[in-house]
Amino acid sequence: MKINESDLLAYVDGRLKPDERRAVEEALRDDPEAQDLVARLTAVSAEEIKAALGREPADPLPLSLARQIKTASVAPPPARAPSYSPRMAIAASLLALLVGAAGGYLFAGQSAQGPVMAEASKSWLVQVAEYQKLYIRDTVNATHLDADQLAEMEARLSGRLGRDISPPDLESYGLTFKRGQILDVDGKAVAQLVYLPEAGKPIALCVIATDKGDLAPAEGHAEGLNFSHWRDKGFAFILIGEARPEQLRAMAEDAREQLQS
Amino acid sequence: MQDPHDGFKDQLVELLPRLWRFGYSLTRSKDVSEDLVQATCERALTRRHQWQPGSRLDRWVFSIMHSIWKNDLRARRVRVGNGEVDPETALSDDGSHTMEVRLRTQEVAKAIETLPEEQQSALFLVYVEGHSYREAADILEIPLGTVMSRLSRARLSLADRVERPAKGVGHTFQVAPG
Repeated sequence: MKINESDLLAYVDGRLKPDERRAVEEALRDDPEAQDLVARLTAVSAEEIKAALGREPADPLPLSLARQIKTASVAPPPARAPSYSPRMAIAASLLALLVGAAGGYLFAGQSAQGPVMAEASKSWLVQVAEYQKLYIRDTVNATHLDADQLAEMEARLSGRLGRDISPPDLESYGLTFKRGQILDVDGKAVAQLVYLPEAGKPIALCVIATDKGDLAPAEGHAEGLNFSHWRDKGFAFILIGEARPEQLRAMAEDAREQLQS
Repeated sequence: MQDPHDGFKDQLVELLPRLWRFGYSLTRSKDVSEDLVQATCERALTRRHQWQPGSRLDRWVFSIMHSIWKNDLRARRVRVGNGEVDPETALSDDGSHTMEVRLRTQEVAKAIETLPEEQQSALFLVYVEGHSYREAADILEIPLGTVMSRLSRARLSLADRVERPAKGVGHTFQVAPG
């Protein structure tokens, strides 16, 4: 049997059925040319390709995208008034060009009608809440960071945030740290640390640089979620989730203390 | 004003980090990637009646994204974007544990950058997103054989462009267990 390149690719990728694999292995035995091809196909492994191509983009996900999806409506509104931000205006006109009249009004039209304009001026806190609201247990359940990955993550987040940050230990409240990432809120980096409680939806601790003065933890309510927020030495913090306000308050006090060191 | 399709929107938002990564890998630019993801979500929302509930939303949305990129946005990249980003700086450093691995990853990333764009997309969908060859073919709207030949072309080019690791030079012939 003469084996072709596609068979060899599927073979090195481990994507052949057992009988196909045996056939390829058999054929390879007496085919030095094919053996050489296998060696070259595997010179850079699939894992290495994944590592190189699958790294987190240097620019974090802009949270505004989530907001736009959430507020998008399908019915095209009657008129557009480009009084929103220039960035949105450019995107909108580009989109109108790209997508055509049928779909091009979806996001842009929203802005003209007010909702998005109102959204745009919302605080980072509300934007974070809107995004957090969409989190379900499955979002983070499967992720687990080992010690090396945790160290890498801390370094990455600290670099982007401009402040050392490591996830406070909230195990005593039944919270397991799951994941840390940087999000982009109106061009500013937000570090998001996600915890999974024993039951219910994930709880997040988010941090952003601020020029406002210190603030003791205060509770609030947004998007159907409870939060406790505080400010400390140029950074604003929010702990947000479905937990009861007094629980969040206790966690927030604890987290604040740990983050001060 | 509760939208009956909110579940769809939620799923779309759940996909955002992956869409962002795919978009970024296609565009290598924050701004173009943002426009691309936005256009993709918009189209997905407009055409959500075309999506079969129960089928994989990610494949459908990835396919929309790739089609927008290929047909509409790619040609405008130069006008829209700020030029391409050096692969060394384009991707943040994470998950690479040792200096050796890091350098290797960087070298592979640079080599991948030199490959034709359609090969890069095939590599991304199959090796990063973990799609089957068939799924990648559907997303890219090309025949199965074309996906496989793009992948093998890409792997062979990488072999030529990347130094073999110092350790374990050459291929140890592996008879898979079982």
